[in-house]
Amino acid sequence: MSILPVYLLSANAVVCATYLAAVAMAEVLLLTTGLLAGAVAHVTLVAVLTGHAIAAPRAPYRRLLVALAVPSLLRLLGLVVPVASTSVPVWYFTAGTPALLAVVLAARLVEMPPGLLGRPRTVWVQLLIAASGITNGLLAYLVLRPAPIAEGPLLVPLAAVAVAVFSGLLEEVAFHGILQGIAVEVFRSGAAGVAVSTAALTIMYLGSLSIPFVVLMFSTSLFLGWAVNESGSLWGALGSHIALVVGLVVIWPLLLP
Amino acid sequence: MTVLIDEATRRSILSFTFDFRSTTAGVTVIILLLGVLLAREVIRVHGGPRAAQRIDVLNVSVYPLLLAFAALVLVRLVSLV
Repeated sequence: MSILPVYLLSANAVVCATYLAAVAMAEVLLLTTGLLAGAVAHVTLVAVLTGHAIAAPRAPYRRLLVALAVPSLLRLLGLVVPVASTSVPVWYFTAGTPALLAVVLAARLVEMPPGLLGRPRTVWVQLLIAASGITNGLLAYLVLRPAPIAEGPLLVPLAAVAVAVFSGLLEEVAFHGILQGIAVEVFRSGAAGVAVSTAALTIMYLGSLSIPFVVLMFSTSLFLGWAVNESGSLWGALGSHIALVVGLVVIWPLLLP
Repeated sequence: MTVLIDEATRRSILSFTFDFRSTTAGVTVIILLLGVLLAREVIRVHGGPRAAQRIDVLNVSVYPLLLAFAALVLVRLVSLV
């Protein structure tokens, strides 16, 4: 008798692990080899995942394939759309709008568990989870020390909204909403769902080029995934992620230059 | 320092010209868009009981990529003004 959980031995796990490894390889290629190799890898991955989802309509992991294509789509849109001559908040709006559309279409197609965005059972627990984003954002800022992406009374609120919507909301729905929600259903295990979403989010943060920050995002994702899994609601994690990214690139660089 | 615009992406946007990114990453994305549009039409013409479901899978890539091109053209026009 195996000591491994049953879901780790299934075809679903093999398929999921293979594609997660492919996403990681595409990210490493992008970081080490260059723009073209990374873009080709991500384009290939989107094409293969989409083709696989179409070719295997009855496979239990079919919805997982669509959810796994979203990170590569986000990376491609982030690489191709922004124009250097415009400001960073404009990058978020231009790359983020199609990315948000991809997330909404994927959520509708894979039928993201609707309870995740329903009324939470305990509001104060969600508020506590959301508040963790403030300290995590400060920690992330102390690790990375990024320059402020916007300055001035008009640009700062604009940047905060852009980052909140196109980073906090988008990432949380894509990873802990869609990917984790579907992985929990496919593997019939909350722990497996948290592992899949955390692995995917950590891989996508390799582009920060900072190992301490990647470790911080790994632990944050693990905590938020666990919180979503235990509470059955995405609202706290959503608030926490928004507080983290807005603090990291908009607020803390202005308060603690 | 987010998934959409991380440090590597930021550096790539700032260090490569828009023309270079268009003729490398941009071309691969255009090929992807053409591929999914072609597949969408083949599935639509071929029909079958699962055609709508298959087209929905492709639409997850098709509409964001089309919107990205619209956004790109708009930003380029605005930056020229």
